[in-house]
Order: sequence, then C-alpha cells, then structure tokens
Amino acid sequence: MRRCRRCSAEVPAGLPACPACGETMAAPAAATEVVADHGAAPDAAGPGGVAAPPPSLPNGTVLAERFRVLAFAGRGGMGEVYRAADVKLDQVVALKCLPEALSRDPERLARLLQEVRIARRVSHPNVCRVYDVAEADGRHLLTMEWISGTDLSMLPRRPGGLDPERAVDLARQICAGLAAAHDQGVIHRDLKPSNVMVDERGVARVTDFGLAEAATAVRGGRAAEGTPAYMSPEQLRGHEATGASDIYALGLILFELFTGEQAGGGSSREEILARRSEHPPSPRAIAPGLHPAIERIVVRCLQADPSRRPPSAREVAAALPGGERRSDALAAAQQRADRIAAFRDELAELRRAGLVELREGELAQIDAFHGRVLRDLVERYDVDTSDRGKQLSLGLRLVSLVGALAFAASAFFLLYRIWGLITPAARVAILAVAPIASVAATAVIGARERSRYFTAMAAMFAFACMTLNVTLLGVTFSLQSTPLTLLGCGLFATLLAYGWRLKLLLTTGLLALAWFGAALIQQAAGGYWAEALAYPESVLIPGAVLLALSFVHRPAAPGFSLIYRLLGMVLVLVPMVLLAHWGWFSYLPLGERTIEVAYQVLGFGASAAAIWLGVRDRAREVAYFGAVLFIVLLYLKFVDWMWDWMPKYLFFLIVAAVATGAVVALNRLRAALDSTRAGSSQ
Amino acid sequence: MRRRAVWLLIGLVVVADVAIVALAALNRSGAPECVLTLTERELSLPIYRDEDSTGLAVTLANASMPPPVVRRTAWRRGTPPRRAELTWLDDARLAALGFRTDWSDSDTAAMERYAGRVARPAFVVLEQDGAAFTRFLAGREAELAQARARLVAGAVDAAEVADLEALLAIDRTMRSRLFPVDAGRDPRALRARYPDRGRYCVVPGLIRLELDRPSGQEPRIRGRVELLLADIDVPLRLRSRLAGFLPGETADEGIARERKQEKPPWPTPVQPRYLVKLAFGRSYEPWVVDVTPVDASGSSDPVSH
Repeated sequence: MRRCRRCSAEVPAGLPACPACGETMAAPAAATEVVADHGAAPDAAGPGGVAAPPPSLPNGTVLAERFRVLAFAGRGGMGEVYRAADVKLDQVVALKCLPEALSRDPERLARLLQEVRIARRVSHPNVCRVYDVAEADGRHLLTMEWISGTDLSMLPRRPGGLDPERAVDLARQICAGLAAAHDQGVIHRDLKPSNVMVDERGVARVTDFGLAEAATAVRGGRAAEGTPAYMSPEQLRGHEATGASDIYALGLILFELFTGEQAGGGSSREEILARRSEHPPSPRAIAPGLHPAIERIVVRCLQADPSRRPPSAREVAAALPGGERRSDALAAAQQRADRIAAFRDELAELRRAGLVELREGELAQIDAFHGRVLRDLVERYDVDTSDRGKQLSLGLRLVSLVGALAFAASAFFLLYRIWGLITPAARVAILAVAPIASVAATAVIGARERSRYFTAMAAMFAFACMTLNVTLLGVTFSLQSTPLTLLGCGLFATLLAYGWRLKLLLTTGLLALAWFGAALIQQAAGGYWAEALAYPESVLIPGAVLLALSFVHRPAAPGFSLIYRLLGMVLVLVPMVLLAHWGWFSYLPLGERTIEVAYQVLGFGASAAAIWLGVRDRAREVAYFGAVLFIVLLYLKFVDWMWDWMPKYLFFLIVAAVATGAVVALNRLRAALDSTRAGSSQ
Repeated sequence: MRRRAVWLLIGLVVVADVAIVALAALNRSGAPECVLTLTERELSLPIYRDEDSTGLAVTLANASMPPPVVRRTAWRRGTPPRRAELTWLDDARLAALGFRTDWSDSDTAAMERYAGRVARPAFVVLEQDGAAFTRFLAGREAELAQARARLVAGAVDAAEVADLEALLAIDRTMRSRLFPVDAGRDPRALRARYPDRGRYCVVPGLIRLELDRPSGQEPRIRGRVELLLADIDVPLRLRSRLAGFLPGETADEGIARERKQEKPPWPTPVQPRYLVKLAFGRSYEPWVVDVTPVDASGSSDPVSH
C-alpha cells in the first residue's frame, strides 16, 4: 500500500490517483492535470515508486488530420496530456486524450460534451480556455489553451503559507476566474490546487471547468463527483454540486494558500465528511499572524451549510484585504482598455504603412487575446472600450448627478409637505434616520455595483439628507446657525468620498471644510461667519492648508490628490488675484495700495513657483494654473498702468504682443519637454 | 475601510443630532430669560400660502421696518420702504461694535464699499411698545401735520399727503412695536441695562451698515439691525389656532392679481387677530409657548404684556 504525498492517505496499488485528495500517484507530480507543465519529465517514476508507462502517442503523430503531437506533457486525472500544434489554426494547444471509458458510455459522453460546450463560453484571463472536442480512431480528444507554468500545489511554500501579498494576489485571480465561470452558469465541481495553473508571469488560471465528468470516469467513480479532499459536505453526501460547492472548494484552496496546510483532510470520505460537518477550521490557528479579513472570509467559505457561504466568488475577492480598492483597479482597467485600443489603431497604421507584417494566425491570436481581455475588463469593471462609450459614461455621470440632486430635492419637498403635520420628536427621528438609511443604502449598492453610478447617486443623496438634517433641526428649535453646520456636512461628504472613492463628494466636502475654516477666521475677525466668502483672505488660509496637504497627504484613491491640489491652488491664487487688484477686500489694517502691491508681489512669486514646480514634477495642472495666474496678474497690471492714458488701439496691441510672446515662450517650453520625453522613451 | 466609514458616518449623524437637541434642551431649560406676549403686528404670518409646505412659522418683525405687506406694496409702487432711523446706533456705538468710523468726507467710494459688505453679529435689545415706538409714532404724526400744512400752502400734492395718512394708519395698527433700542456684544450687560423682562428682550442679531446720502449734506454711514432668528416655528399643537388666519392666495396668484393693478393701493389696516406668548431661553433663542386668537368682537388693540 502506498501513501499519498499530499494527504498521507493510504492508496491501493493500481489506482492512478489518491482517492482522498485526488493527488496523482503514478505520473509526474506536475502533470496531474490537463494542462500540465511541459517541463515535467514524462517518463520519471512517480513518488509512489511505480514506473510510469510510456506515452501512447510518439512525437510527430498527427491526430484528426489537425493536431501534431509535439511532446508528452504528463499523465493526469483524465488521461494523457500532450503539447500539440493545431496545424489548422497554427497555434500550440494542450491536447488531452479522454479516457476510453467515456467513449464507451454514450450517456456520460453526451453529458461531458454538453459541459464542454458550456465551458467554451467562459473566456477570462484567469480561466484556461477550452477550444474543441475532436475524435480520432474512436478516441475523444480535447484541446485547451496551452499554459506554460506549474499548478498551484507545486508552488514553493513556506511555513504559514505563501508570501501574503502573493497569496492574496493569487486568491484574487482564482476568485475572478471562478466568478467568470459561475456568471456563465458553469460549475467546476472539482476545484482543487492542481486545477489552478500559474503561468510564468504569475497569472493564475483555473482549468478543467466542466471536466469533472471525465476525471470521474478515469477514477472509475460515479457521476461527476470530484476529489474528496476538496469536496463540500453536500458533495460528500452524494448531492449535486452547486456554485456554493465551488465556493467551499475555493475556501479550502485559500486555506492552503494562506496557511500552507490542508484543511479538514482524512483518510476516507467518511472521516473527511465528519470533519467538514464540524465547526469550520480556523486558518489563524495555524498562521496566527494572518489578516483577520482572510480568517473571516475563509471561515465563511467553509461553512457546512451552503446558504451561509458567500454568495459569489466576487464577494470572496472583495472581502480579501484591500478588496475595497476597486476604484484603483477600475482606473487601471480603463487604462488597459485604452492601451489596447491605441495599440490596435497604431498596429493598423503600421500595417497599412507596410512596416509590420503579421501572419493571419498571429493577428487572430492577438485579436483573440485582446478580445478576451476586453470582455473580462468590461465584465469585471464595466470599462469603456470606445470613445462613444466614454462619452456615454460622461453622460451617465452627469445624469446620475442630476438624478441625485433631483432625489435630494424630492426628499426636501416631501419633508416640507409633512413638516407641519408631525411633532418635533418625529421630525428629529425622520431627519436622523434619513442620512443613516441612505448611508446604509450607499454601502449596500457600493458592494454590489460595478460602475458606481448608483453608488454616487446614493452617496450624494445621503449628503443631501445630512445637510437637511442639520439645517432643519436648527429651524425646528429656532437655534442660531453656526459654522459647525459646515464642519458636520464637510466631514460627512469627505467620509463618504473616502469610503466609496467619490471625487465630486470629496470636492464638496473639502469646499465645505474650507468654508468652515474661513468662517472661523471671519468670526475671529469679528465678522458674521456666513459672510466669510466675501473676504478673500478668509479663504486664503484654508486654501493654503489644502495645498500643503496635497504635498504631504497621498490618498490611495485615484484623482484625490489632484482634487486637493487644484482646490488648494484655486483657493490660494484666486484671492491673491482679487487682493492684488482690490486691496479694500483685505482684513489688514494697511492702505489699499500697500495691500495691492504686496499681493501683486506674492501673486507673481506664487505663479512663478507654480510654473517651476509644475515643470519640475511634470505636474501639468500646477504649471498651467501658474501660467494662467501669471497672465491674469500681468494683464491686470497692464490695465492699472496703461488703460487710462494710453490710446486703446495701442493698449490692445501691447496686450496682443505680450500674448504672442507668451505663446512663443510656452511653445518652446512644451517642445523642450516633448523632446526630453521622446528621448527618454527611446 | 468601508465598514469603518459607515460607522463613522452614522456616528457623525448621531453626534450632530444629539448636540443640536442638547443645545435646544439647554436653551429651554430652567426659567426663560424673558417671556413676551406679542401680537400679529410683531409676529406676522406669511403673506402668501405655500402649497408645497405644511410647516408654519411666525416672523419676528423689527419695528424699524414696515410690515412685509407694506414693504411689498411700496416696492411695487416704486417707493423704497422707509426705515426708522436708529439714532442710538451712532459712531460711538458702531465703533464699540467693531466698525470702522474714521472716514474722511472724501472717502465716499470706500465708505460705500465698506458699508455694503461689512456686518457684525451682536445682541440686540428689542423694546416692546415702549418709549421708542411712541417717539417714532410721534415723529410720523408730526411729519403728516407738516405735510398737511404744506398742502394748504400748495407746496405738496394731495396724493403725497394721502400716502402719509395711509402709512400712519398702518403704523398705528399693523406695524411692529418691537423697537431696537440697544446692541452690544455681551448679552448679560445688555440685560443688566434693561432689566424689565416683560418689555425688553435680548436677541441675536446682525448690525449692518448703509451709506446715507441726505440731500444737501455729506454722505454718512448709519447702522441698521437685522434679526438672526426671525422665523420661529409654530409647534403642531398650536398650529390649528392660527389655521384660520393663513393666507388663501399663493404667491403666483398674488403676483397675477397685482399685475392687474397699475398702482397698488396701500393695504387696509387690520387689527391683530392673535396673541403669541414667546419665550426666550438661556441662549436667547426664542420659541412659541402659546397662541391665542383675539376675539373678533373686541375693538381694542390687544395689550402687549
């Protein structure tokens, strides 16, 4: 009797795989499954010590007048696997010779073919693509995407599992592949580490979707039953596998990824079932330093009751650490889609110019690859794949904003409609519940939505409810309004923005907080806080704070830093322009002229600094803003100096001459930047 | 992050609401700072019906301005509403409130810019039906007497005199008698100067400036008073007592009606129809304690306290 190297279960002689965990016993370990690593030694003796039989197809064999065998890759759960060339499509494929047992059982074969047809629909970067089923000399052949790499069970481990970042990355990819298959209605039924291939670039692909039937045939089992060590309790009891069964198997894989150990194993189905029916094992009991979020999601996946498991693999991915950074991924996904579009356009141009020659097969491969990537990006992140799509997206954003404002207005008028009919206690309750409920709605919608249009609407509505809350409560009790209203609303909008990465709400929140700062300054100067914006200097200081924050605070959300910087610049530089021309706006107890000159000097200095900083850091928005400020200050000075005494034609001629000079100077600056960039890219 | 954000957001709502309710409770705790019984003259209802709102608030009227309905008529007739001058709000008082007063006569443009944008929050003392209002009324009566004398002499036309007569009748029956008599930054000091809590109330307000250009004289800056908490919510339990006095006309209907009149007449004076007991709390913030409709058969003007 041999022992399985993976689960230590006893394996009767003659069985090609461990009955408990499905580990291949005779063939090279890396070739356990369909798309085995072609680097594995096909003739090596297995760990069980049984010499492997020689491959049945010599190199060069042509099957079905289409597939030429290039090399034996290994022997897996479904028979022999070869690296082959599809001479018709001129591409390398993994060729699997399905077990003869299948060909002898028409009912089971029909079921398998039906499964393969469904599995072919799944096109995803994290799913190994199934191409076709062919028949040669009475044997059924299955062709799949050839993946050069190794399966997950063979990745080098360390105590406590893989490197956490690498493990989270792989876990995400497996979740994405599984989610894509489930979306197409394809259940794996036999998900296990050896069915996850990791290629040379570190991309994980789930293999063998729909092939549990074939694997079972090889093992001589009953209808598609999977591998006991990775089966859910319901599968072990003989019930039909569902998506929840795959989630259970996913939980077991994650357990192994993060702890380096197998969860709930046993030497027999009964023992495994008994363990699976108990309380789910805790990964942190093995790896105490594991992130609590991983512990929570793995334990959820391993619930004996299928209804208590996460409803989708996508939710499992979202629950992993950093899972909420969806907008980062979304921005990256859109960039990828844009790059593909640009590449296609440029390739077409190069081919038209005769600079690039591509064979039809190569072009088809590239197109197919890009098509798969784009479909996945659309599926996962709802990216725009065309200019028209982008325009529509912009329209959607505007419409969602209008919708949110209309919802807020509707809530406002509804409140006013019932305002006189309810007691103060009821008013307080309604006003408090509205923002809390809309925050909850934002959280629920945000967790389910890909595009975030509805999330943004819900968040804007929540903000409107909060504004109504603090305003109308004050009205109910005839309380004086204070700047704290601005603080509350500003914090609320900013928290919503950070929670769900919403730029418009961040802008709103920061403006409210800047107004709060200005109001405090106005109060300190003895003025009425609500009229703080009439004093540019009140705004100047909060603007400077925002600008300083933009250099030290680097939010992870895309575009947030830019909002800090742009708002900071607007709130600093616009008051400077105003004060440089109209000194009477100032709080300072100085003469108007003195104030104007001081702010002119400050303004020119700040604009020059902004241009310098923008060019140095390649921050276009900073450089542009500095240039605009400089020109505005300069023209205001022209008006100051020359308008009254100079003939108007001469005045405008000088303005035009200066503008021409500025265009020449900026153009040279741009050319210098472009040449630097072009040079650095070569 | 999102879970934390949700809890922080909910916490923020709860903290804000608890703070607002606590401030309201604090204002209304203990004995009120003062209680006044006012009439429709001082606490007016909206002049138009708002179809979109069932809420009801009364508006605390400051006697230095005519009633809202008169202001609207004056605006439609093209004559700016006449504001009662607050002689006590002189340069010394304005300087004490933090305003700049050291203007030279040649600084008219700068004075105008300053007056147009600078406002200072302050506590304002309102006197109900006291000597200030009596003086104001006496001034208007003297003005009318002068106009009548000039009419006899042929120096003014009869329409001008008729206008003054109509406005005086309105001032006697409809104008608020809550006259601003003092302002300062320290409400306790103001209360110490005006201890009669049945006649004087201290309220949060805003002192604004305007440039006065009297004919034949140098322009000068003068102050005026705005009340910060003018609209006071009427609680649900008292709302029905005012239901019969609410306007039947919406703003659209009123404007349509006014458009048909080339020169709208001054409103016909009406006696106040209700009394409102108004309390001011520790934070000088008011609330409606009671509302009593005035018996229609009563011919006398309701007393104020």
